[in-house]
Amino acid sequence: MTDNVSDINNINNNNTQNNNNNNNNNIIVEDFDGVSKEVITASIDAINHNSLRNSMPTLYKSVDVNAQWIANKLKERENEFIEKKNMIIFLGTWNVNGKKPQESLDAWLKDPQVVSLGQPDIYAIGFQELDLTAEALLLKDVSRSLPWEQHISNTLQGDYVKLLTKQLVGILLCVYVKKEHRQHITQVQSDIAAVGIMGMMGNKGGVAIRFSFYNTSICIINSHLNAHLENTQRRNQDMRDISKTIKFTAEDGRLLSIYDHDQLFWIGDLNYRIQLPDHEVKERIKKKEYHILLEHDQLLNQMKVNAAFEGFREPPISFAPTYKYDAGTEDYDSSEKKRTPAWCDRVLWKTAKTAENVALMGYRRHELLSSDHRPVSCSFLIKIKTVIPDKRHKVYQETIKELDKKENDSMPDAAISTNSIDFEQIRFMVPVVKNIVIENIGQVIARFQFIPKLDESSLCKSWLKISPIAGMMIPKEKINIELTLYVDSLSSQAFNVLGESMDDILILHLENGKDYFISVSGTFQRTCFGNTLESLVRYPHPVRNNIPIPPEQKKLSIPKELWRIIDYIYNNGMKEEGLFIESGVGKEMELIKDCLDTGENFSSIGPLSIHSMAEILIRFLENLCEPVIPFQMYQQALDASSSSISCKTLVSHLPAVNYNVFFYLISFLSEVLTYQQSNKLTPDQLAIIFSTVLLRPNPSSPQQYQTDAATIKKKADLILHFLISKDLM
Amino acid sequence: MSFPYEYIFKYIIIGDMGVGKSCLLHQFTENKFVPDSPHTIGVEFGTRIVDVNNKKIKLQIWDTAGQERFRAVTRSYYRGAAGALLVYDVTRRITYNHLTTWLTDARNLTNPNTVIMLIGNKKDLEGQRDVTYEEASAFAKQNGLIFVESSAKTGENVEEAFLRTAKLIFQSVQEGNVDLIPGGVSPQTNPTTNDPTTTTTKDNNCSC
Ligand SMILES: Nc1nc2c(ncn2[C@@H]2O[C@H](COP(=O)(O)OP(=O)(O)OP(=O)(O)O)[C@@H](O)[C@H]2O)c(=O)[nH]1
Ligand SMILES: [Mg+2]
Repeated sequence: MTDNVSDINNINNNNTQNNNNNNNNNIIVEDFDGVSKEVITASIDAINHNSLRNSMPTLYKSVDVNAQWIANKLKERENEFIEKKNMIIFLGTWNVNGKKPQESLDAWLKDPQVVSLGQPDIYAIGFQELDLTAEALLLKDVSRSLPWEQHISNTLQGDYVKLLTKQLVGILLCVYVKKEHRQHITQVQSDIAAVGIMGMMGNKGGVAIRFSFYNTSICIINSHLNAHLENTQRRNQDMRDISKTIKFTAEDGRLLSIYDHDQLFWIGDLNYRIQLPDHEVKERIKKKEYHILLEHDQLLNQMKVNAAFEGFREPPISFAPTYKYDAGTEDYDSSEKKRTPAWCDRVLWKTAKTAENVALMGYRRHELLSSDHRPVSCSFLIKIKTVIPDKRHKVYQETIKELDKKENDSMPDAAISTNSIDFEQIRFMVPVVKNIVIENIGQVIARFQFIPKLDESSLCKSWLKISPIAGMMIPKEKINIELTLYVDSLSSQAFNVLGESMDDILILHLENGKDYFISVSGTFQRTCFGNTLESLVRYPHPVRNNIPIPPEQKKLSIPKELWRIIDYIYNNGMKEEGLFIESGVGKEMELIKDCLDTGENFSSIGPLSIHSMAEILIRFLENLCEPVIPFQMYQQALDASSSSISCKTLVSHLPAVNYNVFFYLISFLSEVLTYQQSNKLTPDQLAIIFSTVLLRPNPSSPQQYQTDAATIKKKADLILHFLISKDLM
Repeated sequence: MSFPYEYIFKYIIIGDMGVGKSCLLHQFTENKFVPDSPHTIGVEFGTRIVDVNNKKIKLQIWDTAGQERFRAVTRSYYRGAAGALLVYDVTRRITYNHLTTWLTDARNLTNPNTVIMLIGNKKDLEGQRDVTYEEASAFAKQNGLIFVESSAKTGENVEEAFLRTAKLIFQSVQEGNVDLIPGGVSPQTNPTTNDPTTTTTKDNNCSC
């Protein structure tokens, strides 16, 4: 894959639309479905990533890191959109000894001691020995459960709905919930585990129901474990077998054990006995010395040594053993067998480490007489977390915003010292340097680059230089950018002649980030240097602060500046030795230029080296945007140089102003030569010096590099013709 | 790798200086109002992921300088925009009067399918109102623009402006009105240089 632009050819326009319509606010992990690779750049830059899906290797499971991040953030802020509510769960267990319903269940399910603390939100009711018939055992006939379910429904009346019932032969578990909660219950599942005769017949075993109640997962097991005093180890084993056998399936397909729940309840006829002689047990029951009996309770003792029900807890027992009665009476077993009373019927619970523990509301037995067991119940308070959709949405939106902000922050950011640079007064051929400092104030590496404006190929105007034009900064690093403004004879025409204003806008581009505009401006001091002859003859007054006269007015025959220079030399330096050969003084020359441009007298400068003025003459000619012999005649001039006649013809074709200037200069130089004895100048010397400035190739042409002796001689010859033969002009 | 979005739309925000373009961007991307927002000198940039028809769309928003002197330079940034938010200030008629020139630029420099939304900002300054809703609404209708009045200060209608534009663009994508133009964007202003997918797709050794 290269980049977006070159991928266009690969685009399959029939992209499969992503069927991601799952935007349910109650699901914590937002579904970002974007596991796809191909990129389309449409004319409006719609980029659809879906069509690459097929090219993903199937073994590779992608992780949506953004969705994960968002889910974690929401979890962190859960308190802001979650409301805790207390819910009451009632757990009841009764071994009915094969009896059909014959008495009211009110004393159990509607026990005033229970309901006075609040109507339970959930009823989980377990029965054992619902059906002792051979049919139930062998044919798995479950018809006996219906009257009991009916009986429960009648007792609970219209406030409750049945969530689920599950039966394994004589073991039945029924879960009822208040109507208002039904819609907040999901993932309702059940399972059974038979541990009876041959491990599969189901006269002993357990049934389990699990569900998610709001966001709390609950699992309830109702079991009937093996009987008889001496079978403690069997019961322990039954419990372990049931807990291993029962399995549910999570939404994502994982198997869930009973321990994978926030709240786990285990009820039933667990059949553990009191390890004491019958008469002592009965004696102590009479005296309500339960605590002594409980010291000998098999279950509590097994739990103490972690031999069964590891991690489970039981509320303290403060009621008499619930087994075994003569049915219909309040008397413990009077039959031959004389079963010793025991707490067979129990309620245990286990709260996951990650969940909030339950609060105990009361563990008691109830006086229903029809069976040889008494029913038992225990109610608990469970704290349920409920999501407030509006608040959650708000937090979700804020989280997304935070992510966007992070993303925006992770874009490079830079501070630049100024957006606007004024170079103020700019003089011809005097470079001025200004600096901009860029600082990386973002959190990532910033790469910057100056870029051209729309439809332009250069970064800036020709009179400006940027250095460096690109670079990289680590966070907090600063880079100095040097802007050099320099007007030479190539760029000066725009200001001197065309009167353009001096400004430009630079675009500093941060890779993957914003662009900065930098305005650059300056005020060019108009000057006769870097000007054109054509323009200068339109200035009867100094160029600096005047405007040229309109075309219809009479123009000067030669630039007055040229006249002033030559006039000065004529009056002050014709006899000077080394004239045009010695260098001028830099400072003086700058002042002379100013005088030329402002009209000021040269005398204002004070004493002045004649060599400065002589050099000014040469510089003036050299810096003319177009030389006295125009660029387009350069080659002709070289060709003509061997013949004085050709040279004469060539000069006669010069534009009028150029001709005037040429004539004027030759006359002056001839005059200079008349002082040859003093100034020691020869015609050859003057010809060489002046030919290089009067006759120049176009700087953009390859000829400018012709600096060979032959070319130099040709140029000089042209001038020489005029210096030695006066009648050529 | 996976992307948390399926489309990227480029937006540009244009309009006279001081109308609140940068404030609208900040309000939309960060829920913040910056009372002394400096003039934008250049082009700023913000992103946000939004939901349109249950699709995650990444909006890539380019906030341009409104000052007249940068007009020629900011024209470089119109190219490739799927949406253009054309903003004026309801308390300054002059910014409304300039809409036609902005609109001309927007039409000339963007694709015919580019969704242009007219936004009358600073609606919270009811007392200083200089342009009525009705007048601007008529202007919008005449020029086939969608229109909303917003306040970058209170946040009113800011979401709405960005989202309505996104919906219309999305609709246009679905109707197939968006033609694919290969390499239609100059490198320096290429909106996709800011596109994270450019880098992430490189990691994928896919053969295309
Ligand atoms: N009362 C009010 N003030 C606003 C609102 N939007 C922006 N402003 C103010 O208007 C001024 C200019 O806002 P900006 O967002 O910087 O304007 P801009 O369009 O980006 O201007 P340029 O960057 O120069 O093109 C700031 O001082 C803001 O505080 C608004 O909705 N209500
Ligand atoms: Mg701005």
